[in-house]
Amino acid sequence: MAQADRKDNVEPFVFPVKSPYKPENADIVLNGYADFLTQDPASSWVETLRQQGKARVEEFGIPSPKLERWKYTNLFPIEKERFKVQLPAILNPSIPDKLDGIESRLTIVNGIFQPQLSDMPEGLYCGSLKSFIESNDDWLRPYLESQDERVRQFDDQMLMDLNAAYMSDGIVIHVPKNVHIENTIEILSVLAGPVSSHPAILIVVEDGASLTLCERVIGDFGWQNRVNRVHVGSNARLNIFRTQTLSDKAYFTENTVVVQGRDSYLQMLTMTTGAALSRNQYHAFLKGENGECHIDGTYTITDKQHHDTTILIEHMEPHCYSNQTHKGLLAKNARGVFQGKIHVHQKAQKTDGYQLNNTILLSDTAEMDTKPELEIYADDVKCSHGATTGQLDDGPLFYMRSRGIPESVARKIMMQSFLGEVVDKIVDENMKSYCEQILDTWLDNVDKS
Amino acid sequence: MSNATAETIETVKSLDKYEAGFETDIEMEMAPKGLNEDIIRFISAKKEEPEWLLEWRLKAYRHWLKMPEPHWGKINMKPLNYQDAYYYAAPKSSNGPKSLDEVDPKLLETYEKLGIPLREQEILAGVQGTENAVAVDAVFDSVSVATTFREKLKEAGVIFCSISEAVRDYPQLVQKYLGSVVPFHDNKHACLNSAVFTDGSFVYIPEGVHCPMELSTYFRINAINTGQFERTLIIADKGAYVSYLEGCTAPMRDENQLHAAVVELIAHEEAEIKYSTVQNWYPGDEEGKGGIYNFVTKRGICEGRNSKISWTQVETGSAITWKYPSCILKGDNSVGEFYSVAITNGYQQADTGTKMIHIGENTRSRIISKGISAGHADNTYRGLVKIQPGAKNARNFTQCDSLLIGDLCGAHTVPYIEGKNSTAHIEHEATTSKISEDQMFYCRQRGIGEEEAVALIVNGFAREVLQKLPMEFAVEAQKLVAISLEGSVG
Repeated sequence: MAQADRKDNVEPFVFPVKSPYKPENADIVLNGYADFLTQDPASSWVETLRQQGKARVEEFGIPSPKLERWKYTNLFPIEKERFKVQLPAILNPSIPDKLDGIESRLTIVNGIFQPQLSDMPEGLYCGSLKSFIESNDDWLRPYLESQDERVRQFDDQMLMDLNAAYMSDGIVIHVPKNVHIENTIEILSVLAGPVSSHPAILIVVEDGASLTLCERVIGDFGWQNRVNRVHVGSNARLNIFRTQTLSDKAYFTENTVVVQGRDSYLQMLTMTTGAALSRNQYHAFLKGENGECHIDGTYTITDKQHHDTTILIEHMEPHCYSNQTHKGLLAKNARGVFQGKIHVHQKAQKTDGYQLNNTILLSDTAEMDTKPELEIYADDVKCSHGATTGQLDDGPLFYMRSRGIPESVARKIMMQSFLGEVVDKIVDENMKSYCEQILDTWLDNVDKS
Repeated sequence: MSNATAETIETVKSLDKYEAGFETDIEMEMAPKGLNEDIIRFISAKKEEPEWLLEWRLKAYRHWLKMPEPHWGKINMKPLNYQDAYYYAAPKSSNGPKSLDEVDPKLLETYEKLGIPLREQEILAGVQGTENAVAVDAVFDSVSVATTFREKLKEAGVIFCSISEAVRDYPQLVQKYLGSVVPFHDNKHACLNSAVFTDGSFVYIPEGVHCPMELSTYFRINAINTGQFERTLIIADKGAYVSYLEGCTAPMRDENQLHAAVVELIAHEEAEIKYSTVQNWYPGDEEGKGGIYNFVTKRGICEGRNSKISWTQVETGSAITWKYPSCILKGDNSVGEFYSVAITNGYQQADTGTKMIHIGENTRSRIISKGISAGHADNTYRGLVKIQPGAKNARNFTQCDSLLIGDLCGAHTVPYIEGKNSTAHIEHEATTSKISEDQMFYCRQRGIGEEEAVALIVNGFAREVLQKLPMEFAVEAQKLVAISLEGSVG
């Protein structure tokens, strides 16, 4: 309305503003923080990062469903557990064998790097974040600081701040310029014991280099709140295949920040079957022309499990390509959430963005909430998304049954082929058969009960 | 199509950008500026309203004071100063609608100029039979000035009058249904409307009646610094059918004016309501100065089995559009439809979409949304499809397409899809693209000018929705589409 032009005009009302933040929750997650600091003092710049993170957590708490991107996910179950950070002496939990064909593996237990359980690969720099901080801080520092700034434009990144507050250990993998690592490297992340852990993973693939990673997240208890920072240089190539098969008593939240250069290629595929509550959040910044970014995933969950995938792809330069394919099966009381957003900046002409989310509900009590978003400021783009929610198609089921295939087998075949579109994208054969095996077990169990 | 296309091209050439932008010089009666309980009592007294309605208004007003401003929309605007507006403005000559002969000739002239003849005789004497005529309720600022064809409609048992009259003549009906679909505390703008609504249309179609003609309301904001708050209530009883159309225009002014309307539709068993909107409020000038803030709450409920509600909207005007016509599909087998074309040019902003709430079994909904963005405009589709656990075999199909013209505008899609029933099928598709070079080349090669070619292609893009409009308005809408995009090329 027009500005006040009359003297008898009274003051406009002041409307109450309801804050979406819950600073009162900060105490829960910062419980025992003083102990943590005395146990693990850090160098000055890490100390600054910790303080900044802590200050923000104290101010804003941890995310509540009042925040738009947390609308469908409530962290209350995690708050209820009142996990504390514990910095243990060296732990030796029972860990599975290495995947077939893998020679080197890096292991973290409760967020702490375990050299005795790791075999260092050759041809690249890698190791624990802590050792890198102690020896080589100048190189590392910009990666840990600047990427966070870019993500801080969002007001709901308190889990990332929490991770910074507890910054201590994690994994660093650095592939130098023009180095091609032929062998796949495995990362094993184990949750052991009812504690919270906040590891940071930094993966830097320099210009012209290439790398393939496999990762498994396993464990029975606890909460891992991690931050992955992925940097793919010009003309570099990175494939990451991950499985998260935690027990249904564990919790998993992560923030992945991806920065890609010119002509780079990234594929990140995540299979989720575990955790009582899990949230995978990705922010990908395509900062060079002709970058290609694939973020795919499957989620197969049951009982009272909750899984949330939240993606934001920022197309900042022309000629980039991004693709997201996410497929899921929800059984019993499971709840799935998919929030994907493609943001095309005005400069990013000739963008090609695609996003697909298909979910099959296997029971009437399962719930799927989908929010595929497009935000487009450039006119010469090709962007589309599709989302479906439904049940297994009766037609093919009838076809198979009429040919003597039992119903349970027919259903399994259909579910396998449904997820197959994503699983087939795994180019590492060993990892692919491992993933198929996990899905196989899951599908066998889901129809039994 | 070819006829209409030729017309479109002609229109682009001949017409001014906003032909409804003139102002009628007429003596007005205004309430004092500002908003407080006295103003609400003043409005209520002016309308000679019963006590319960005044109470309801005051309850809404007190609640409104406590509500925060909604900020979730993708809208960039200065905060509203609710005290700097008149909440009641009526032409002095009009003390409530009366017979057409007594209506101020200046008002009739205004509507004539807008292409809405209010004289029944002329239409009756025309070539067209009465079957094709359209009954019009004309709302001028805060009051309804005339309603045509009332007698003829009465014969069929249809009640079509302004809501102020309905409050007086059919208080039971109004009391039963007012606020039943959009409760006063629904959202801030609906709440304000509940407190200060001045006029609007009331339609009641009795059991088994197929309304004999199209009903329509024509809203006109004329006075400076006024807000228009109208309330429309349409009830289709068992097996009834009605098609209703609303149109809106306002003069060109540098100030932003607020228009906060509430529309409630109730469809009983086997009933069908078709609601079409051609919204052409003044969109502001090329620098984004002035224009109407169009904050509208529209919702319909399919109360009974096999009922159907269909929303069709063509949104070309308004500086800011904030509007989500919704359907609550409560009755089994009920159907909800939403067809929308939203065109933004200059500095216009549109945040529009729908909500489909599936509650009953076998409910179906269909959403077709076409957003066209040019100049510096932003166009957002925001929608919700919600399948409740009891909605067995519910089906939804959603398609939102956006077309970008120029590289300074934005197109956004924000769909929320919540599925809680495994037998439900929900499909969603969205695309964003620009006018392809091939299409342009094809037209240009055949001697069609650039602007005409764009108008042609855009009309094709939006055709799926435009076809859903009643015949008379489809042509009108096509012209509007072309005009709205004028100046966006080159």
